[in-house]
Amino acid sequence: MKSMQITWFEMKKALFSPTILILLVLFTAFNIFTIIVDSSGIKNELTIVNSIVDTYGNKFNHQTLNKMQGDLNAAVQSFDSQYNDASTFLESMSDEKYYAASLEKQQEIDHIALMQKYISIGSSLDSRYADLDVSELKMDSIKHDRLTGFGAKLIENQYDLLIERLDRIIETEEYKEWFFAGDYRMHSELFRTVIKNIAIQGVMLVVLLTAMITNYEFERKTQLVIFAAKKGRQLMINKLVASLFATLIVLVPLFGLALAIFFTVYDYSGLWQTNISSGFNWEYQLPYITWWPIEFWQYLILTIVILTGILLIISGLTFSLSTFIRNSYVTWILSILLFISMFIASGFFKGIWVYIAHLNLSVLLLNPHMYFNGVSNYMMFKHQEIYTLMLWFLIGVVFCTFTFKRFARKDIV
Amino acid sequence: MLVLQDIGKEYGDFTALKNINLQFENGIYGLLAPNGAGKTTLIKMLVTLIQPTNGNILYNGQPILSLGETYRELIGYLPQQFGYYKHYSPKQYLTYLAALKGMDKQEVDSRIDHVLELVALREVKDKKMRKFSGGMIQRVGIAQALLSDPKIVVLDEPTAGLDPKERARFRHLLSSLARDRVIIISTHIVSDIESVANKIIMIKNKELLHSDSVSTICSTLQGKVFETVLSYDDLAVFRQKYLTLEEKQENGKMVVRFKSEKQEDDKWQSVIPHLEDVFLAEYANESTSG
Repeated sequence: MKSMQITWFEMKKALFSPTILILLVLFTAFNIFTIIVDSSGIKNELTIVNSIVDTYGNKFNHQTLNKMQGDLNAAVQSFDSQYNDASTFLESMSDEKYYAASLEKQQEIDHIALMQKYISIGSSLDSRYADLDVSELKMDSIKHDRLTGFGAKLIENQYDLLIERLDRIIETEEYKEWFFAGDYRMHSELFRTVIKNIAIQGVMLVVLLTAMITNYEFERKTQLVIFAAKKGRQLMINKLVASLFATLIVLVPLFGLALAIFFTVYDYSGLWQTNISSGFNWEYQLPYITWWPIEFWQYLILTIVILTGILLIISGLTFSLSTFIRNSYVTWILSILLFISMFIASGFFKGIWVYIAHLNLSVLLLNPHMYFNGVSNYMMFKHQEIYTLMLWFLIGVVFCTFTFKRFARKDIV
Repeated sequence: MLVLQDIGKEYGDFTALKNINLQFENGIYGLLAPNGAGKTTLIKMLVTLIQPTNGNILYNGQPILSLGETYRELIGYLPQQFGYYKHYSPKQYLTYLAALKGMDKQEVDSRIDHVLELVALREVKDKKMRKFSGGMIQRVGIAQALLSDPKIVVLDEPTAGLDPKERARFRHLLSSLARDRVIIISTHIVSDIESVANKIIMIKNKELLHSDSVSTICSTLQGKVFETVLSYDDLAVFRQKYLTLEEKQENGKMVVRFKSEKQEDDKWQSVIPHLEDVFLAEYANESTSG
């Protein structure tokens, strides 16, 4: 109980710091601004996928697409009796005709175009998935990285597993689930823009608050009074625990407010159960092929859990570094430089080492849109996220243990 | 009982202290030494902030480092530079320190009121310390050192920044506390401890010089301290020959208190040596600040 009280006192040193509070407000304002600006112009179009799910269900197949096309053709006919199918109607639609129509009619035309877009994408997915050639990717990777021996075998095995997984996705039609059309890049918007921004902001906040908590006494010259008290150097354990709890506390408003705004602006009501491997989520050259069927809500929670794990480990590592530097702002600069260096350094390795170098916290934190994805270059390994977290958790434990032992013997002057 | 056995502290090639043997029982101990003599090093070892390179510090026969929390909970410590948080009030700061000192939550508020009363700061216990004068901050420092009703009170330059009235109050406070605890005061202001200390500890050249009562230490200069009256013109020559301990003007002449191994002039008047005389005589060639 007393220990919890001391931990709370330590947490307050950072949580009530004006620097942390101002940064938290600025970051949140930036995130909300980004979400609102990015959503302008597309958020109304995106709602159509929810009405499709409401009417035709979360999954689709040939019958569903045929029924949708029939329903859409009927709608076109009732809109303009000259046409009895949507494709012909849309092909005949010129700018002059569109702008000559009333606003209400324009909205109906937009609706028909969007419905046709989703039906067309849905219809094209079978052939697009059939054309995917993971074997070619395998050969390209081995050739590009000049892999031989064990390295080549390891990567070959991963690609073989990926081929099995893709076959399974095709066989079970896992990709036939509704999601926002790929050209809106909503997966990237959420995970690559919003959540990655939050993660980077999280690093800045967590490093600073950990350094503040760890160095508080030395920066204010109270160390002689504080460490001579009964608690003594054991206070460092409370400081580490306080840093970890404070990390969790600042992440709540940082994630919470931005995500609350995001899901208020964008309507995901019908899409929480959609698999990330949905063919509609095909944004760039290759679709997302997750190693397991992962629904959107699961992916979101797992991403937050992974990022929280990374930030907790970063807090532990910063704690260790802080005891050497003893200045919050210098520690902050050094930690951020180390973080950036880790990311840059991962690209300098050759052969199989480039894959091993990607088991790093910076790479993991900066690519939340690629989690559990088999087609993500050097992050392709199944369980890559868990291996990275475990490796760095162990490194963090070793560093913190060393720090405690060193501090216990250190003269406090 | 607190015992120091052959304590030494080295920082690489530099020796801060060597062969210190001391024993503390209930009472007031004055630690007198000039700057750099190692008194702050000694004090930091007593409160476990630094570890001796040689020797042992024992409390009731047990090494203090292995006693850990059990020993530290007996300690009340005021460092030479008392650090505080400007945006805290005395009450907030003492509440935080009470938690670190492992005090029972029920008794914290009443103890805080009590110690702030002792240093006459109870009225301002909820005011932010950023508005406090140096003397008020020092009194907060004294209050925190007494907060947990410690058995061993270690005060490094406790009267720095206190005005004469506060110093007098502080001396009375020490006398009332000393009955059932060890109080160790490091200072270079002899008058702060001369009248209240049971024992004076002096360190010179990194080693223990004296550890005795005021009267015993003063007796080392018995028959060697004199006073005489000089003209201003003779003073410069006199200073070159003798160590002057005090000089004051009186009726257009100089009354000089000085040290000499023997009485060389009938006009010299032998006087009773004070602790200040011993201090000045011993550290004649060293800085006496800090």
